[in-house]
Amino acid sequence: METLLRLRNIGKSFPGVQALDGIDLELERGEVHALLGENGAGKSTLVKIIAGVYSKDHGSVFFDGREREFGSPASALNAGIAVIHQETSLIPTLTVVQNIFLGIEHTRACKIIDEKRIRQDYDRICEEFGFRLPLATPARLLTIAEQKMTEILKAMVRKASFVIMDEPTDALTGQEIRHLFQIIRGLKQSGVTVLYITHYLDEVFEITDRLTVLRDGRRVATVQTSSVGRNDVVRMMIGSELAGAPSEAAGRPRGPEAIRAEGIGRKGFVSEVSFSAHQGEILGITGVLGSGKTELARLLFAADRLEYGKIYIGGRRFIPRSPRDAVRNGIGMLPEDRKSYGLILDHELYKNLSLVVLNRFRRGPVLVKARELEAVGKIVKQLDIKTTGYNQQTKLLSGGNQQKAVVGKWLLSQPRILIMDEPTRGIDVGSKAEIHRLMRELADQGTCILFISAEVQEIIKICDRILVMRTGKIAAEFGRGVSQEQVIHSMLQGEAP
Amino acid sequence: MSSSGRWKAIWTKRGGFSLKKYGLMIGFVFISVIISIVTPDFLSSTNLLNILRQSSIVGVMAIGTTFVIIGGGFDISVGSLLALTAAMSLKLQQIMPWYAVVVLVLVAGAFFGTLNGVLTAKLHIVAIITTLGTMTILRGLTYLYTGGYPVVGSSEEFKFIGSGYIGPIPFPILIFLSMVALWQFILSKTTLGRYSCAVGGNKETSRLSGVPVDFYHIMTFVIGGVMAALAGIIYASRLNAATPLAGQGYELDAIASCVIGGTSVSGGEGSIIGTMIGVLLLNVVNNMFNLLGIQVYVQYLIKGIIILTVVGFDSYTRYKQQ
Repeated sequence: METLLRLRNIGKSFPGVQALDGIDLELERGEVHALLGENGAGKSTLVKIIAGVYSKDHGSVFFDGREREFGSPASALNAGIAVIHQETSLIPTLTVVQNIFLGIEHTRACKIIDEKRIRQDYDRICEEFGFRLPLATPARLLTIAEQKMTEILKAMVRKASFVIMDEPTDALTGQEIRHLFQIIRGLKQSGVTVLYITHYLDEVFEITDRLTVLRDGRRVATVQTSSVGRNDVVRMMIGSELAGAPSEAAGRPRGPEAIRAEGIGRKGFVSEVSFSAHQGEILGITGVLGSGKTELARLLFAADRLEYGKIYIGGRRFIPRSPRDAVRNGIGMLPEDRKSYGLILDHELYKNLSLVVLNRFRRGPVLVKARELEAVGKIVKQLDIKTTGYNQQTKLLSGGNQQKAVVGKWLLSQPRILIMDEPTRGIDVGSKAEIHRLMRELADQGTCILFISAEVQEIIKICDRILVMRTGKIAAEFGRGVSQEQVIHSMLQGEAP
Repeated sequence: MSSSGRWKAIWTKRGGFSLKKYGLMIGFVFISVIISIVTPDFLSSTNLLNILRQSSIVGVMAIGTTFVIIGGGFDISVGSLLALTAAMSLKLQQIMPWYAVVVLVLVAGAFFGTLNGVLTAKLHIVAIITTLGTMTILRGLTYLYTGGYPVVGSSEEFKFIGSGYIGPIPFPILIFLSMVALWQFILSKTTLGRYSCAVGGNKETSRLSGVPVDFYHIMTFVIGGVMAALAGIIYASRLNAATPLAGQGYELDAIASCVIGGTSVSGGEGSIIGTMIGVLLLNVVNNMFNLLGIQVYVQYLIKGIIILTVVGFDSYTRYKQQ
């Protein structure tokens, strides 16, 4: 077989993190290749380097026999590398055909669009891959599966020889997944190489020829898919030395019940979830992307509207109307996306820290800045937030320090229940350890922590109890001492395609 | 902390002054110096007071507009609101005493501000479209209310608001300056000000921090309405007349003053003092052209160029930062 893409010693680091370290990889023409690894293993960084979004620190990329340096996604696409992202990149108001031919429309004299030729091309490409889409429908009315198909056609019209699919089956039904697999087999037959990124091992074994596992920015192995079993893959992802990572949960005495959910849900996201958590307990909630864990957090915090079910806080019924109600009832939430929902990036650090409890620093209608700065100063010190001063714009802080700022903002409000959604995602190892330590301290002081993370290792390390979510439901519950393999197995059981 | 960082910290400590607004101040002084050299009459106290008095009506309006823009909104209805409130100020005096009229007119301003706020916050209409609608409605109401004719005449006490003097200083200037002081204080020292900035800076973050975002969003529009009504009162009192066409284009001058004064068009930050300098800058330039005898039409060109230069510089710097 002929090699299409060859990566040599690719390295990339971000401030405080070595994202990729000496990656070598060869992909053959016409193969379907799975890229696996836990969150933070370096999958998306690698894809972004291949697709010209990031520049690499060192190493070389050979594509189609030549060494290439893609400065932008556009130049990678020109060379024949197409990426189908998790989120659609179609323009919602344009039709299927308009999206597919965007930027490469056939024109006649005076730049008049030649609809006839476009239509002919469209028919030809549909015939080649054996499926059709309603061509005049605006992209916003397509199902997610149809959007993916449109993006595949868009790549094919551009004569892509290499397609990267990032979690393509997220939010697809079993039947749609089967259809997608047919299409992928069609691509393979036409000699197109597919790099397939997924969380679901079922899919890997169904559709891929070979697989590569990344861990902590390094390549662990590249093997024939048929030559390994699921357990082997899970072990490669976790790393054998960590397979029995000990639980560091303190086994602290459990306090009274802090929060209880009875059959709560919201259509399409969370269905019939029941659980309870206690003061002084760290309850881990894990699951792959799209499993509903973030949506569950948002329901509990009243960020989204609860459609059915009951929530009790400290034994009393809590009817969530707005996040304000939740805050008043002693709940705090660190949202998943700290930049968009956790901080006001343009504002100074102290304004972000005091936002939740601003009323505490009031005398009449007037803010007493001295009191505000005193409280803020304590938090900055306690969390060791690295800043040039309380006046520094939060967007200038590093990721870890930004996350600490979000934590600090909630610490000030002293919540009885603190929901932390992916609090350690994308931050450096040091800050991560500090946040873990802080969570334990809070739990020791009696705070009930709902810790949401897709990173099983840290969940096992610090949680007293673990809930695994899958397709909006709680699929399993584990106590202390569960192995990483057990949890990952439970997470990765996809819907049978 | 580096020495430049410390300097910046010192500046930002006091009343929301950052280097950016400091730069605006330098520009303002610079232009004023040039003007005073080119036109010696510029520095006469009569002329300076004149500039301030001319600035006071749009200035008072622009204070409200600053709050609206900081809160992430936009209000183009305030010029029409000025026309309606000016007409009300005079016409209502035929049936009630002037002080009652002042109160009633301010309440009317708050009412229309609330309307704008509720329509944008609760029905989620884009603010510029909401206020385009209410702008048209308000202009229509003004025509209906006045029958299309100018309203004239008021009590001597009422005339004092726009035409009186305290010592050598015209009363409207005192209103303007005291409003600047009051609202700058509210903006930087109260929860109302802080939450308005927070809501404009990032609405979702604010909501998830337990801030009642809709309430503060609406409040910024209420402030916009009340200040437009106050501007209407000063206008009616100063001219002792109100035509149905009054205040046309004032909303644009107010918005221009805000953005020249460093208020971020995307919301979240700004200062009342900056807006005041913005208003003064526009009026100083107008004044210079008047003194030099350059025709009015050219002033439009210059005003437009100033807006584009200031905002263009700001936007491009932000773009480069990213």
